[in-house]
Amino acid sequence: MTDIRSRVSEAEWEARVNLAAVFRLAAKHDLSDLALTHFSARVPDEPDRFLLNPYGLMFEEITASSLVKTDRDGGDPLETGSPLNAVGIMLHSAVLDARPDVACTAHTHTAPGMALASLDTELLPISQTAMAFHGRVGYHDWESRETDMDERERLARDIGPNGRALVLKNHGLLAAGPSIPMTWVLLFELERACASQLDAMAAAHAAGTGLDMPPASVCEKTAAQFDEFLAQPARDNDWPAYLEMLDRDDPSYRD
Amino acid sequence: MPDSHAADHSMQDRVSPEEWAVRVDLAALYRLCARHGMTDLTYTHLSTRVPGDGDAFLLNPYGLLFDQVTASNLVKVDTEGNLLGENRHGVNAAGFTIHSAVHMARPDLACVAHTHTRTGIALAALPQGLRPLNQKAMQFHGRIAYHDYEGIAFDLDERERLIADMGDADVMVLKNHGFLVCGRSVREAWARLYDLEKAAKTQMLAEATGAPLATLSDAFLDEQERRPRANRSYNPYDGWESQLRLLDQADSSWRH
Repeated sequence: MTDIRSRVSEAEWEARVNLAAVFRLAAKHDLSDLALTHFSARVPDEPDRFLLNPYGLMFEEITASSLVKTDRDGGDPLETGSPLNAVGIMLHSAVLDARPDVACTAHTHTAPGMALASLDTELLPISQTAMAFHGRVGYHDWESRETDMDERERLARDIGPNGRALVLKNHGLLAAGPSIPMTWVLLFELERACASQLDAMAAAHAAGTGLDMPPASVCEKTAAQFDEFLAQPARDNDWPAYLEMLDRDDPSYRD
Repeated sequence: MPDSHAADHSMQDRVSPEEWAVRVDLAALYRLCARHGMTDLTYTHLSTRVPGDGDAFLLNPYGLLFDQVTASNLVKVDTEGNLLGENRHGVNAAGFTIHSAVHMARPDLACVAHTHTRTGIALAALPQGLRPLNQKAMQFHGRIAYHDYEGIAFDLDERERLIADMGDADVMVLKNHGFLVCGRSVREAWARLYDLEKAAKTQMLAEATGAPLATLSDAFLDEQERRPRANRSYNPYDGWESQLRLLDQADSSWRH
């Protein structure tokens, strides 16, 4: 597999290493669901193509070379022969096609994510963390166990022009960011926002109280501040710290 | 890991290749449960029917932790409770009752996994049982059974009631006790066990909020149920081989 590096551009290789790192970070933070969910990254110099994890590989085993380059039809230009998950192709191509500003998408089935998605409740701006998604999260209804490529139109509608996350109702979460490193941060904070909301709601329910939230104007101001934060390429600057942490433990994601 | 049990003589040359293969798979299941925090000290048990060996099945040696179970130290018993072959260990009597019941009544199932996880015990204490709230839980819609608690399962008579309650379900909540999850293969049982655990955890997080649930209608769920279902008894994309490699990286003694 190591010859993949010689067959792709420098920019694609860098995207492969970074996306592999996001899988390893997700595994470290217990955001995986055995081998069942998928993350994607647009290939920088081939905007109609994207990288996806091969179906059946645990996140801990994903490497830069093992990622599969494909397109919205599931074509595999590098002919690695690795299987892809049809839902993965459908879900990620829906967002990448609809949103040229999105570079990377990450889909999870964590218990807090699925729990929030199983409630008739939205993600509430109860914290700065959650306010990052205020007015920037879409809700997409569960459709069917069978994959329907036309679902992409509904996904595109539901994430809208500004969404950086989707709550996939009765299913899980999806984070969509302007770069691979920022998508990792968005995924982590989206998971934290869901988990903390569940904790707060459970405590409020038990105590017979409610949730404190700032006025809508403050929530919107904060979300707009996150827009600016995300728009700065410099925000990728903490990425080397994550890579250093991974390298110390197991640098095989770079293979 | 310091593991004197792994140093036991290998059974590989003393059992059929088919038996050895299921011993390795079942030992992997013990280690996966340990890795994912689904153990209860040395209690609870996972078993597999031995192919081509009548009603014989393999069970964990009572007294060992799950991360000390190996392919060779699994104990072979028949449904009468006789120990078969070479065994250094006995089996848990309650485990024998529960597992022999399923192996006697359900020849279509190969693997039976019983857990006492925090999540499973909690769900088993809820009158509403598992709700088909999400993609994980939907697969169990109409296919999950419930069995009332009768005390520690030392009474072999309970086998009849276990089986009557189970019917043709593959998954059963042992009320006030834990989960019982079966599969046509070890890897299918693992996929179901993992999903059931996560579905239960998800439900409890959602229900604790007291907020209205985003329920799916019975009509929708029934319609979904009629659609073709992937065969999980051997699903090449379930990550099984990948998980075994991760086990090996940490400690490959289960293979011996």
